[in-house]
Amino acid sequence: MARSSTLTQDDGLRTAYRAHGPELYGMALRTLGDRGLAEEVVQETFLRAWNAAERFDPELGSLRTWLFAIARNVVIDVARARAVRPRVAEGDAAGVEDRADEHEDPYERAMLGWEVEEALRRLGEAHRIVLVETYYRGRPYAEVSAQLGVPEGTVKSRVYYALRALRNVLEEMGFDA
Amino acid sequence: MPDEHRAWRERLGAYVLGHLAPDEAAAVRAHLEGCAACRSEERELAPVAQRLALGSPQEESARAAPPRDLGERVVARVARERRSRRRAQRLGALRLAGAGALAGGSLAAAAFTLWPSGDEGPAPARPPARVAPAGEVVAFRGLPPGVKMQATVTPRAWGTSIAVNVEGAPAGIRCTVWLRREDGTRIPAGSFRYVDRKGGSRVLLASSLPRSEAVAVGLKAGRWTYAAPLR
Repeated sequence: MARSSTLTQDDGLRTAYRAHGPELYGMALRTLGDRGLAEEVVQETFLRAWNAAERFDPELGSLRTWLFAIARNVVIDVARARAVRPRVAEGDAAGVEDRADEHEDPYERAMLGWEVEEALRRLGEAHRIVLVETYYRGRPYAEVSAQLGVPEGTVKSRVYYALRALRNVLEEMGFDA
Repeated sequence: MPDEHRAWRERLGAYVLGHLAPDEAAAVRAHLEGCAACRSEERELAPVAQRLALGSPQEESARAAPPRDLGERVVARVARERRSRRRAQRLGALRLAGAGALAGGSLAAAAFTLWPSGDEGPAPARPPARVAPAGEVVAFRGLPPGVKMQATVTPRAWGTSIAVNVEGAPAGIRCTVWLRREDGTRIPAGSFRYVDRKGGSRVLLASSLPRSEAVAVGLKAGRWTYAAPLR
């Protein structure tokens, strides 16, 4: 059966690792802040996936979504077993404090943090830069406009198109709000 | 799309991020009142703006690449699990066959020689007299105050013996011990429950892994995991 051979054969595992392993590792490292634990998370994730291979149905969702759902649980198990404190973003951006408390589980928060950082990395440079400068660095639009050599109105509309693009990337990653 | 409408829509990014001056934000709010298309756009962008707050684009760790051999280690770990399942199935069959053919005493002996390479073997408690001189004593670190744990690790012809001393742990806590290989994989050495008494518990465990291949002793006590690196 096609769907179980994806992970039950060594070649299928290798292909799945090449496609998703580095990203899973990035998520685990960002969340746990420890390379050894991040490696453990990746190994354990693929082991659990192999174990449950017959439950994976590509018609219900992508392999990536499935692996990340498993990895999420593994991160929480590993972190709790080792009592590692998750790495939560510093919170230097304006307004972080009053928005942050809706995600009370720190692991959940750290993973969502990784997700948005990953999405930002996938944006085009022009879009990424306006969000980093105006939002994360809190710089006035006039300054960013001078730095980029474009009118202030263009910075503003780029912020709009950047958020639009970010939403699309997050949706590809499984975001549904 | 009319240019005027587009101009409103293109302000929605700065609007949901709270970047507009109060009068401009008020103007956008007034436009939203009367424009369903912009309202729906605003509803799509607001949660994205909230997500931004959880990220930190300076975070370098998420960009770090995994070690080059991690993929092969994943494949090897699954292959090992596959083998250990087959072995467990064979062992189960063997023990069933043995139960029919052997008297109790020799069955116990057969089981003992098979156990050290199996998962979750029993913890044969032995008198502490048989510690070989070549043993290396290692202490576990990061323990709660008042708790002492150390292991004496000795190379044997059949693998490695691990004598574990525990003192001051919660009575009855379940401890699982393993040896760790350089590639991070764990070879089980057995488990026991801590008996709280003066001088602590001493338990002798065994693993099939040759001492030369072990880089650390791991011990899980209840929910907590500790490791002691070996030379």
